[in-house]
Amino acid sequence: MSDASLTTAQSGDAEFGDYVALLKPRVMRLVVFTAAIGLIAAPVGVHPVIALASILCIAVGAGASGALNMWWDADIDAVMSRTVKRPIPAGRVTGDEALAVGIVLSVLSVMLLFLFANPLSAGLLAFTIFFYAVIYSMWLKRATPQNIVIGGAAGAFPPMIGWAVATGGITWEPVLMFALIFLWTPPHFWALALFRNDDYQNANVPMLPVIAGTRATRNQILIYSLILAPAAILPAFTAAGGPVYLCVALWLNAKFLFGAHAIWRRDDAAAEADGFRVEKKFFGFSIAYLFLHFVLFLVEAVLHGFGLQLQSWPVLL
Amino acid sequence: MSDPRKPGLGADSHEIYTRRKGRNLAMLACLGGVVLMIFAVTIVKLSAGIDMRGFDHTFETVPGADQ
Repeated sequence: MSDASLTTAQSGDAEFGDYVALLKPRVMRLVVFTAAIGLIAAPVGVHPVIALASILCIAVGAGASGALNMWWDADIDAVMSRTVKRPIPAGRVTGDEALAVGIVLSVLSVMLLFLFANPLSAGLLAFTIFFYAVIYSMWLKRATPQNIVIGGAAGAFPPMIGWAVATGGITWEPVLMFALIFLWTPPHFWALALFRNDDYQNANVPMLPVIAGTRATRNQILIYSLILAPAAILPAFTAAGGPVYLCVALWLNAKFLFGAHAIWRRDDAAAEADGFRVEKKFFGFSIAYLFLHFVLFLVEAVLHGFGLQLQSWPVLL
Repeated sequence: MSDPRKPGLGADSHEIYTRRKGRNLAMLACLGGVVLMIFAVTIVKLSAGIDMRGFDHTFETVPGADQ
């Protein structure tokens, strides 16, 4: 490779893996997982081929919105250490290519989901792509410190789409799955922002610690965790939950609240003294927290599938 | 072909062609996968007796429905 091609991307020079990287494969993994759980937890059976094809469409749609996000955010990606190696700032893919990949895959994924599943799930996928690419990336991310709060909705839609693929409708269960991810996103990202503050400052992204300060961020992490806990436990009392969900969710949320309280109790001096140990630990646990909640939905779905459910279990919603 | 008067050009173009070939093959595999997926879903839907036709602006009467 010539030196020039290292700094300036030429159309047609990228490897296939660079285009895959545009789709944010790590985010796609989470989308596949939560959409699949939404689909499996739904009370209506779906043919495995249609289920697989639908989940693929949801994953590609999410990836397409990631490509549009990278196209729009190429300037700030170039100054943040976390994102500087992405295909566009690294000079492996041009912005126009990323835009084309994003648009083509968006249209294709929505159209195919419409054909494979139903109009509702395709409409939700289209709205999710629009929400992430336009509402979050183009508008909120650079405009308000509450960007993560509202932008988190984009990541919360996949289980709802999975549920809609199976049932063709929306009930309390997918709404609570949505609420779980939506309310989890702010404390998760603000914990990251506390120890990656410099990155966002350099990029002029108005993250809460940059605009309102770390004290306000610590307060907000605790407040959102307090709102999250009941929303995360409530699914136990729906048709998708049960006693296993309740027991483990109680433990997970107690641990989450304990971590949020530990962050709230500290100040910057204490955090810098131990290298943000508590914040990093909370951030790491928050990933396991969300993963385990969706594993619990899966466990309950399997138990229900084998008829292993308490008939007297209170289903409130 | 490598040009001996321009050191590095041959190696560069070889690398670019290799990269493009790899990318094209991966694209071929993806498109093949999409075709197979559409075919598989079509077979599943037809096997389940799902009407695959779009609305063509004419209403059909079901034989025996008016009896």
